[in-house]
Amino acid sequence: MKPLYDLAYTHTSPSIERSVLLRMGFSSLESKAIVSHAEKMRLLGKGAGHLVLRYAKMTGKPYLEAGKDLCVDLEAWDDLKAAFERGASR
Amino acid sequence: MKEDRFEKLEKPESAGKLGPHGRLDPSKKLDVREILRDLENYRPRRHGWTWRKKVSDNKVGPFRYKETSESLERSVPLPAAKYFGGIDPQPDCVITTEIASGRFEDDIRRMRMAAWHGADHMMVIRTTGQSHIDGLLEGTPEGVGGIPITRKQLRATRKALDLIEDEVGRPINFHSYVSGVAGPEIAVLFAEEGVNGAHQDPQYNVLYRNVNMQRSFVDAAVAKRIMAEFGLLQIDGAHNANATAREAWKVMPELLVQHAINCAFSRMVGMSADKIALSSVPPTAPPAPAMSYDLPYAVTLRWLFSDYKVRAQQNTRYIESDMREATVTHTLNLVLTRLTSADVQSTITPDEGRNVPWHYNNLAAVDTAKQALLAVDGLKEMVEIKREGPFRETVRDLAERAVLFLEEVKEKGYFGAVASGMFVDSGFYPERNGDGIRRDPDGGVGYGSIVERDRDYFAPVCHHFGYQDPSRAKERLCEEIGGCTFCDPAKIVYIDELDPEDNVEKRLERAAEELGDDMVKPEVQWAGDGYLTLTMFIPEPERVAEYAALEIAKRLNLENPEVIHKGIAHPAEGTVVEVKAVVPFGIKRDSLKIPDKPAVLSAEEIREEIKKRPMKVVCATVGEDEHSVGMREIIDIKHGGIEGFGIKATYLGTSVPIDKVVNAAIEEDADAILISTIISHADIHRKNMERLARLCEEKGVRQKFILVGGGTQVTNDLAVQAGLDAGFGRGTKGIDVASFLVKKRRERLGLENPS
Repeated sequence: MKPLYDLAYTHTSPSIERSVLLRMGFSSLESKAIVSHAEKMRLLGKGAGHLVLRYAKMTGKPYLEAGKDLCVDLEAWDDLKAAFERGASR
Repeated sequence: MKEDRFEKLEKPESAGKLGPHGRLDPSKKLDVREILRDLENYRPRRHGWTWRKKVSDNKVGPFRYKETSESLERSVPLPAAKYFGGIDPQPDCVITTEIASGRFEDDIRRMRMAAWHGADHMMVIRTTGQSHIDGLLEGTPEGVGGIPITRKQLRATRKALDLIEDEVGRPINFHSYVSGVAGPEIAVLFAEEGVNGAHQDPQYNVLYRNVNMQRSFVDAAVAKRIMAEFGLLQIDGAHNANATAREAWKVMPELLVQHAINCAFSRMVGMSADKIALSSVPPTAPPAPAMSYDLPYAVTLRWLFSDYKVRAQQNTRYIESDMREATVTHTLNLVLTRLTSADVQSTITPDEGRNVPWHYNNLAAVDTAKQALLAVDGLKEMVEIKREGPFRETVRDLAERAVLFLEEVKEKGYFGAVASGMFVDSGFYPERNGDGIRRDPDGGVGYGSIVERDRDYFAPVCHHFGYQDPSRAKERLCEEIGGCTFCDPAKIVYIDELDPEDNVEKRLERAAEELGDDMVKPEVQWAGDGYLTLTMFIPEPERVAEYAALEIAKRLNLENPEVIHKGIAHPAEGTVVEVKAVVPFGIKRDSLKIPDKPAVLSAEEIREEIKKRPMKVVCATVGEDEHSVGMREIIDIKHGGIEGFGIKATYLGTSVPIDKVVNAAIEEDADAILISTIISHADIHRKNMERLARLCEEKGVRQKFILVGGGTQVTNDLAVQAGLDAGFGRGTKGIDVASFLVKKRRERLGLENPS
């Protein structure tokens, strides 16, 4: 069973990340939008909650508000991607 | 309030109060609109699974039980309970009923009925196709073959169940499925909304839903961890191989392996053994020599997995449209449960082979379980399974085959084993028939959707399985967001409805318009659906009988008739046909002329009156009729009969001619004549009553005697029409007859009757 356990331990999925966003207080619709953008931007491996917190920090907004921006604002995703590529401090 | 009964259960701070109407009134229907009111603020009162409180040596009525639990405060006992003081002992295992008509608002009414009959595990089947929806559904859309699982549907159902469990006086477990491609989100939803148990088995996704295997296991780990933290009982999916394989009894070794794989994976991600239930069905059914296959398998399973719980279910594969056959198999399965063990006893409705189960068939199945389990209570104190000889060999053989199977899986790796078609092959392992289910590790729904977690992966929430950036480790990871929904349920986002047409409010409006609150209509699954069944024997071969039955339903002006069962009596002599059809009208409740129930005097009043004015009656079963049981019940003191009130009864016996009865009454100077007339062939019961009245008139004694007729087909109206003073049918007690006799005599004497 160890290989199955290890696979699960080291991987995530869209549903897992949506489940994280639900637990953070986002609606199912918001969670779906954020995770779908994160998948397209190939950022899911960071963790969707992590992405939201990072964007909140970048913009100085409360995280729930920052997450709502990430549902609709494609430029926000470019900024977020760039920030991770720069490896800027969190 | 029943709160005290639950005080030992975990109550999170967010535990909500009861609904605005406090508690249910057993004399009123469940008000769905009340359930829906203020739903956005409702919080479950507890989380996790609850077992029944066992009582090992339980005195209930005149009996002692070995395998029962605390009784209910309100319930519907088995019909024969009336012979034992109305007792309703509850077996020790949790009893499941599976409910899913597609409309949760009708299902919660059915859950209430099922709870009164003894179910404390409400398993809700999901709508077709939900396992392939990558995300959550919201609102209350109508489902097909099940319910779309949504937050609103879960919350409304949980709220209703909280009220129902207070009404019956026992916690009720609510259950559905954490499977498909949205498992982790569903697990969060279940934890937040107080769902108490769930099916979770990644192998089910892989084999039967063709969900990509990597995705299934990655998702399952996160879902299982959440279920473990909230104490949900997990039921696995192994039994599906039994319902799928061509020769179901040959997959027994594989079933043991499937249980083992899910148990091991669940334990690794943090689930405890006492929260893991193995879903097991007997592999065969009659006419197979079922017990000789099912019992060794059941023993092997419980021997190999002694640390785990067992959920026993009937094998749905063998259920045809014959409800009698399904019920007998169910009963035999229940004997198997008592010969071995079960922590959760599932029930399959006897109409499973015909249609989406109907209200009263859920109740029938729950009653079957209760009836059979009580009948064989304490069986193991009297009967022991032989541990030596061929039985032992069979058990050992099954275990050895399972071990060999597991070794081959280990060699190939799980994904390789599935890809090679090892599972659900109808060969008795190691024999192989090449008809197993093959799945491609690089295929299936959700293929390519899993992503490796980066080194800085982080999820700021509690109870999240898997790798997290170690530099962000904290005691509570959700500190960074000021608490997650598990710690602060106020953060949960409740969405009411997304579809303005397909929702519960619209359905309730339509039902009110179409039916109206004052109309009465039969119902099998949805309010006002109007379905009824006709059972008929047609003395024709199958095809003729089928079409004749449909034509009969049409000529009765019933709509949408459909044959739901045919049973061959003889290829030429005839066929039993059951037809379901819709009644095209409702009955106005106020238009019904319902006669008042005759007021019955109290036992004391009757005794006092008889003491004051003694009464003599002459009784007989008349005509060519040898039935004496009913009359004896009415007379005998030990059955609560009229003798018990001091009435002197002379019983003349069976098959007594009417004139002999009348002569005896004259000789005895009796006050009344009681005749029993059971046989109704050619209207003989009516004719006997008419003859009695006529003979009394001819002999000039009609006013001297109070004349009473009784029998299973007798009604008061029929007897009065025939010229008697009263008639009593099925279910009559001695006190009913004694009360009538006393009142009638007072009336004749011109005395006032007590109200």
